[in-house]
Amino acid sequence: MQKILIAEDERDILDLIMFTLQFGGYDVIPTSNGADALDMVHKEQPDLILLDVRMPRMSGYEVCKQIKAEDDTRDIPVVFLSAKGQEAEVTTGYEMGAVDYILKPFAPDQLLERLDNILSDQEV
Amino acid sequence: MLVAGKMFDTMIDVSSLSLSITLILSGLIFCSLLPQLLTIVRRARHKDIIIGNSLLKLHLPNHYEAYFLVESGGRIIYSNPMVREMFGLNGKKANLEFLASTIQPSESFFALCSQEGKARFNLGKRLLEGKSYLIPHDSSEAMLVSFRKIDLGDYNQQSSSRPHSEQFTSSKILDTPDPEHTHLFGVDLQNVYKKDETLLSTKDLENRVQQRTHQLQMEHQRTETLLRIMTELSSSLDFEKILQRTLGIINEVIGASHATCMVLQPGNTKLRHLVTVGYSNPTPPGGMPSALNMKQGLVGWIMSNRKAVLIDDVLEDERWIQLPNTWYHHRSAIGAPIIIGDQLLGVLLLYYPEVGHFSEEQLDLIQAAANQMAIAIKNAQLFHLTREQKEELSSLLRDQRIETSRSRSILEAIADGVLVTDQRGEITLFNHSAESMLELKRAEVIGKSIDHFSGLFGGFASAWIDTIKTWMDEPISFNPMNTFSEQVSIDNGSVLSVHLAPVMNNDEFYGTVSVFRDISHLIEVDRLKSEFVATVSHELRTPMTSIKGYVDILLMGVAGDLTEQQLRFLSVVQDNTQRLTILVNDLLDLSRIEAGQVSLTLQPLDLHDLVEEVMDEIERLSVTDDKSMRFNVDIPIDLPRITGDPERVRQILVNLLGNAYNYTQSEGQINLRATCVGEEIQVDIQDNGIGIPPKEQNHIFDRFYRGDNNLVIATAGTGLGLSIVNKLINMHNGRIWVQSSGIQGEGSIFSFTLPIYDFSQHALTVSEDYAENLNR
Repeated sequence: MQKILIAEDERDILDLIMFTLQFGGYDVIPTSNGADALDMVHKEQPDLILLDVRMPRMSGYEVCKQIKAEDDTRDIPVVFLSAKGQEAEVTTGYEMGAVDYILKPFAPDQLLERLDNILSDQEV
Repeated sequence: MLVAGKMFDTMIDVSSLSLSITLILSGLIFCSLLPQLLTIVRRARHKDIIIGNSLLKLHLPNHYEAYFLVESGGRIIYSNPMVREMFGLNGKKANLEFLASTIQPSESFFALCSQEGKARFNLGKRLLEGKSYLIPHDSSEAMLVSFRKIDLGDYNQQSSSRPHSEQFTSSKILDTPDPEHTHLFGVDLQNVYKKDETLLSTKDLENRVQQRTHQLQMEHQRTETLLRIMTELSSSLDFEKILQRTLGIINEVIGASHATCMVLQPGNTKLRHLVTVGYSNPTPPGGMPSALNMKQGLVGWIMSNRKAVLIDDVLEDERWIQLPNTWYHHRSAIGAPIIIGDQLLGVLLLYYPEVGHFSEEQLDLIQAAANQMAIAIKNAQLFHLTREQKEELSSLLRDQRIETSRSRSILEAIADGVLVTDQRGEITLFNHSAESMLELKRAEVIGKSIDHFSGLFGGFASAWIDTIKTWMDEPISFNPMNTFSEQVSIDNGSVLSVHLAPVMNNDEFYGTVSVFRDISHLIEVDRLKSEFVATVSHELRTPMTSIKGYVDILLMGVAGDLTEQQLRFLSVVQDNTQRLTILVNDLLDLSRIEAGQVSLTLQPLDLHDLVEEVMDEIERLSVTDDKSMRFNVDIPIDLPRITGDPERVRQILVNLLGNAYNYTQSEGQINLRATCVGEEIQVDIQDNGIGIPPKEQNHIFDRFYRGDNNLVIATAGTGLGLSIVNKLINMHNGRIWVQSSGIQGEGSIFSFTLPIYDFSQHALTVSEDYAENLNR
């Protein structure tokens, strides 16, 4: 089963994502801040990382930047899931090395669809 | 003249005065005892002499002089004491026979005398003997005989200057045995007329003297009057007062009872009484208008003929115009034009209420006085003119000074920094605010070329200074509406906006004015607002994420089965959540557009691709909604590319096609047509839906306006879509408008334009932008 690491400080939303992804057949590693997420990435080596942007202790951008800076995690696809929808913010997300930037509020089925696509692309 | 006066006096004193013809006998010589009296009589020119005791004394003042008066018949009627002394009469009364017998010429003198000399001697002797024809026969005449004793030395000295006496002088000296006792006498014989005969002549003389005296008096008076006038006219600068006094003098001297000085009003033919003295009311300051103009009446005649005039009775003169409503009546008049050079200034007129009061002789005086007045009036006019011009100039100068200092004060006080350069690019003004904003002292800047600034401000200033230089070098290179504006960050961290504009006056380039404004605080406010918007956006979206997510999950049925009713209710929640999401997105979008935070990434866009994408979305939506529609797209293959931001143009199309889809019922039709119009592409989106009533068409681009159609209200929407579209199209320099009858089923046509991309202008940057865009 493919592992997806989630970093989301809002408990309700974390639960929603977990439910959705588990329903979609993924193994989910939930974290609630950037620093924990970075730790867990190294430990768990997930297949995909879903990051909120605004989080305590470390922003999603920073987490992404560090993941992309290290050899063992560089290739893991990163997807942002953020309420920050301004052009500059989206652009920054891509600049940090993300493969997708999904805006909140999101439709659970569409989230699943996009992540499925990314992971299937990855396999190819 | 003075002598004449004295003679006159003498004539009054003396009883036996006469007018005589003078015969001057000169150069007569006597020996000491008078035996050889030589008398030469020479007829002199007629000369008017009045004689008498006083005159004789005057005429023969020397105490050596002896004289006597001989009446016709040889009777001596008067002799002075010297005669008796000279002729040794010892107190006896002189008679002519005796005197004649004592006078004997010497023989030797005769020998030497010329024939003429002898004749004259004999004549003299006969005369003394009473036999000369010169002795008056008429009882009215008498003969004055006078002897003058002359010093011999003087005589010798004078002899050279009296050639006719020469011969007698030398003979006398030869004949004189004793030079020590030689006396020289001159004898004068004069015919005199006695008193009664000369009375007539006296009268005549008297008349002549009187006449002459009168003339003199007149002349004197005239000179004196003119002197007084001249003195008065130059005495002070209070012109009207002077003229008043001058006129008074003329009035008095001429003996007039009324005088007026009329002048031409500048620029027209009207006359005004400048000053008046006499029996009318005093002229008010500044004069008063006359009823006459320069062509009318006596005044008119004087002005046209430029001649002085004397009128004995104005009522008999055809030139006179009697003005109504005057209680006084002029009869005599005398007047003269007031002329200086060729310039006619006015008229001087004097009147007297009786006929024939003035005389011809006064004309000269009047004219002379008028001439003096002309000079004074002209001077006064020039003085006034000069003073007016001076006042005008100084008030102009004062106004300008006030205006300049006011403008300067305003420029100084203004909170914006102001920098002015002249045509040569030198800085002429640098206000206080500019000092503090640019952290430069005025003294370092004023008078320097704008070039100095490139160094001081580094990179930021280059575009600004380059613009100034371009305008300066080629003032025709810009049109006067050109301005330059830029935001620049300077070293101290503040941000300034610079607005540069040319200073023009009637197409002439005077320089430039740059206005600096410290917009640091605006930037900060803007930043805070952006932050706020971002925060709100985030804070609203977070709860909405939960609501939407969980409702979606529930509706997906993955959390368990739902009843029909639960499904329906949850659908309502889902729809409204969607609506709220759109609202938040649109609101944030609109506020960012309005805050100028949305910047366009303009690039060449192919409408085919964009329209196709959006149409696909709508078609998919129609399938999902099970709302069957016909779509028709008409875009020419060779349509030029437009200039636009791909995301925003897409947003525009989504909004407009979305509306067309939403507000058209099932089985409707949507047409999209693009055409090239001038330098723009026009896109028309036509539907056959509900349409928009004309009265609502003005409001459809307002925020939150949705009209009152039931279908519209039932459709999820915020009323912000068209407002955003309108603003986005404006940002692209395009226009949007709508055509609709408002009748159900006829639908509406939304049209908008976007500029065609000009590759020649953007050749380089475009390719880069475009490449970047493609990479993304």
